[in-house]
Amino acid sequence: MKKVVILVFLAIMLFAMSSAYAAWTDSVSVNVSAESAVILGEYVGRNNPSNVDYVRLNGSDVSLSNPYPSITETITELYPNNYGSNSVYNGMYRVVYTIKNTGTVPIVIEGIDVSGFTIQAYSYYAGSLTWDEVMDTASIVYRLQVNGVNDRVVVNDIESSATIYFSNGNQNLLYPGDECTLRVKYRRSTTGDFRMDEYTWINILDKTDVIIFSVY
Amino acid sequence: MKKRNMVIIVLIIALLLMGSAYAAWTDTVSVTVNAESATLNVKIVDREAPVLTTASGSSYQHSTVGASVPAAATFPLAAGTETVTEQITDMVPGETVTFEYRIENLGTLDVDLTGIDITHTTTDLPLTVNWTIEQFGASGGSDTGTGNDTTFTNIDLLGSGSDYCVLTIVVAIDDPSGNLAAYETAQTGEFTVELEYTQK
Repeated sequence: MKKVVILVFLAIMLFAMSSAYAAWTDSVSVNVSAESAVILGEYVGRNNPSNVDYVRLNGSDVSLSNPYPSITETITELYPNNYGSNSVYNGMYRVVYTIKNTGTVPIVIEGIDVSGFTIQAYSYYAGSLTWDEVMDTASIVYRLQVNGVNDRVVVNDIESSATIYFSNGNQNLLYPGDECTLRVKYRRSTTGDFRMDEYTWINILDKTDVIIFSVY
Repeated sequence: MKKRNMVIIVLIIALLLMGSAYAAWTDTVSVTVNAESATLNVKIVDREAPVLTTASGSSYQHSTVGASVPAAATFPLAAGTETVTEQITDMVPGETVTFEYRIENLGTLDVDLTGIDITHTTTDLPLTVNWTIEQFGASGGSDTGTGNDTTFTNIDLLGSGSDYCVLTIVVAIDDPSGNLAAYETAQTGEFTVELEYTQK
């Protein structure tokens, strides 16, 4: 019984000592909460090109309520542009996108990262047209228009899978909520060679365009 | 009978007189002691306006807008404070925000600064925290580092004196990947910096 009393007494003393220690050791503190900006430019609109067998893979609709940071398209039967006897194929497919700064800080549209596509070339003509000859007639033209100022990039080697960069630099500035347009034109030039102009076409499958931007 | 009553009365009077005499010869003197403990009272008493810097030439280009940082504090508080809460919004990669606090020993006891304890409570936004502590006063001493450190040496704050120290905290987004996709949604990081001290 006496031993129990001693143990209880010792326990109480230890508690008392620890309280005293805590009282003489303390700290000051700084609490920091940091939230990042939302850094984002997205496709919020897309027109529907006529006479084009177009397939858009990443969504049924592109709209402000259904935006995409990237867009994937398939373009088929791209004939040279003088295949005029059949107006279905006008040799040029053009699609116009609306790009919006949906983030919280200003951004600069720097370019488009092009990736993930496959190119097919077909010829009904049995003559000796090479792949390179067919490809040489094709080009893609990107035209970014920000605040009425155009920034144009022409890609003649459409087989290259690379990032294209616009040249206007900080002029391609979008403040939060601002919009601009991007016209992408897929075209083939005429050669005057009927074998080329009437019997060859190109398909571009699953071409993905990702908007490249930076913080202003 | 009469005589006996007289004796009783005399005895009673005698007893009463004895009691008075006792009271007269018993008294007290008092000493009043006013004991006041020493005080251990280290406080944050001032903060400079936070400084925002941007990383020109980074993969994110130069930001001319920058994060929204807290306004200049309403320090000095009359009695200082033990806890300060800061909030940064719209922070972008490449930016740093620097906070600088003046810490004084307002108590009567000398103290040793023993270390920094940093606790990250929310880690969605990876933050780098660098700190520096520098002592100004008779005892001298400084330390600098990242993360937790309990190896302060010779950083004292003398009580009731002119000693003070400056704690600098630099916050940056740690994103070596350079991938803006991480910022398609707002991310939050929270941490607490505790400057610990003990009685010297």
